Amino acid sequence: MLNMIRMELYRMVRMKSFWVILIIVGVVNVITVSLNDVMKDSPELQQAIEAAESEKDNPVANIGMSITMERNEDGNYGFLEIITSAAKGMLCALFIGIFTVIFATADFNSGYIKNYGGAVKHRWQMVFAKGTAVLAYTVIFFALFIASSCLGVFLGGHKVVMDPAGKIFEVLCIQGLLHVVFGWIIMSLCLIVRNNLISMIVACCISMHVFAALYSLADKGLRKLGWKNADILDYTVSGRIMKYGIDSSNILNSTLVVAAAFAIAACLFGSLYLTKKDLV
Amino acid sequence: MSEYILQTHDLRKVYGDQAAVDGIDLKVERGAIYGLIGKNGAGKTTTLKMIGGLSAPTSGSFSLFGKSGAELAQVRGRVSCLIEDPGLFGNLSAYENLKAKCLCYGIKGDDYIKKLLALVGLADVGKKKTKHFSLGMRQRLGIALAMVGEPDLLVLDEPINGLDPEGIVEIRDMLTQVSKEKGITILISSHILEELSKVATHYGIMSKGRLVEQLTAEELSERCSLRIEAVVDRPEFASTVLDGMGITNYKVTDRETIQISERLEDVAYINRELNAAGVLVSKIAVNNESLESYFLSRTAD
Repeated sequence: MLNMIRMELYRMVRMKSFWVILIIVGVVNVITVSLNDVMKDSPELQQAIEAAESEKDNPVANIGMSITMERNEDGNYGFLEIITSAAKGMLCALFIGIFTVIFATADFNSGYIKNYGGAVKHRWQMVFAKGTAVLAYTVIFFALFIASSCLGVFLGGHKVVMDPAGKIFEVLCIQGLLHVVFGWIIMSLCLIVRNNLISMIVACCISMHVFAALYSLADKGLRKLGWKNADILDYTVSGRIMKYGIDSSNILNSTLVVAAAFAIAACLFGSLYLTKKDLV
Repeated sequence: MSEYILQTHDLRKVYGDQAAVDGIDLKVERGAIYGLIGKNGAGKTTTLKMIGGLSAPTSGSFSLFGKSGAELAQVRGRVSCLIEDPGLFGNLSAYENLKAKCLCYGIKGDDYIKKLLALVGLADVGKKKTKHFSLGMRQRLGIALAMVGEPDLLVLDEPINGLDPEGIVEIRDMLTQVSKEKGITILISSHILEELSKVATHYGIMSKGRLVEQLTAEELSERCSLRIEAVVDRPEFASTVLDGMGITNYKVTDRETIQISERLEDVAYINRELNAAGVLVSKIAVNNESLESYFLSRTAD
């Protein structure tokens, strides 16, 4: 098992997409965060943003990606604001999803799975090893994202104000966990459908709120059927990623339950499918 | 008494309503080089996939090293396979592809990988990415990957496809060497009968998903009447040379052809002796036409 994890980590860091995605995210993040000030102070842009905001009846029904990083009263940025603004905007999930699709399908698409798949004692170990690599990638991604955001803030002429350590730990852990589980869901989807295109479309649609829009439509239907407070998004990992922020301690337990349920389901379905189906 | 390290019992694999493998009973002895012969679509690859653990049988069973059913998981690591095209990460070098599998098998050390690369003639490829490899190079690397961990059973599906003549000889020699020196049992499929006949100790002939016959190399040789066919200028004089060499099982078939049915491995020696005696040999070879004829007769519709 440990050997298989070693192999997955080795091939992960040897993948071109691993470095490409991290470099793109790092560079783009530094630029956008450092230019955040310029955008904030532009009256024309402010008007456009306000106009767009006023059109929003239901924030989750809007397709696309919107990231807003708010400054403190002193003009500086809170550490957690930096993390949660991008995480809640599903930017991190989008890149983690893209990488997971490329990574999880690489050995199937290349046929490399034929070299070791038959010798594996239990196929669930393959899911576990890939899941561990996705976890490692998420940790690396978050570390880079935080570092590049802080650098962007400094380049923009501001400071990063640290929040209480306990709060940082809580939000980082929960958002990290939700993103890992999101990666596992995409990984299991890849193992089941074994198709890059379909998996990539689903990953992007979840990240770009297309699924959220579909859930909204379903909610309307459920409300007509009598479930007055229907909110499917609330029971999804992507919904929790969008909701969990600085003042979300009240939904900590329910978020953990949602994450655990999806983690178990993703790993279980992925393992079962891989066990029952032929590898090639 | 022979020990079978692989035995299949009424093994079947059905895709939709099509039986790719239709109840085969295969027996492979320890240390054998077992050649699985069959036309395209005969079910060779599907059989090897099941034995290699990549695909599950629809019905029937098989045992590996005496283990079957749930116990198969214990011996899966002793089987390695190269099925169809070699599965390689195109953006990685040959070394990195091997390194990934070595990590999976818990094998450490750069020397081990370098030895494997040297064994298949890829010691000098450096950091060249495998997506730029020729088919022959890919095939060699695929064999090297299959050799990682020194398996007890090596399952090779058409391993000489795409290799140049020199490469075919090298791989053939390598397979014979590892079988003899390391005691690795090799299950190899091919439709190139001539090549298979140079390495295989046992044969299984497949047709339409069924195993129509299993036989040893000796039995096949007897049935196919493998012989040396020499085209010479003076057959009568050549006969006396052969008599002098102690060869008795031969016949002059026409004004310039002699067929020799013994000492098939001494073709080069016979050629040299005939030339030394002043017989002009314009062609000499082990005739495998009847091997093909035999195969075709066993797999005929």
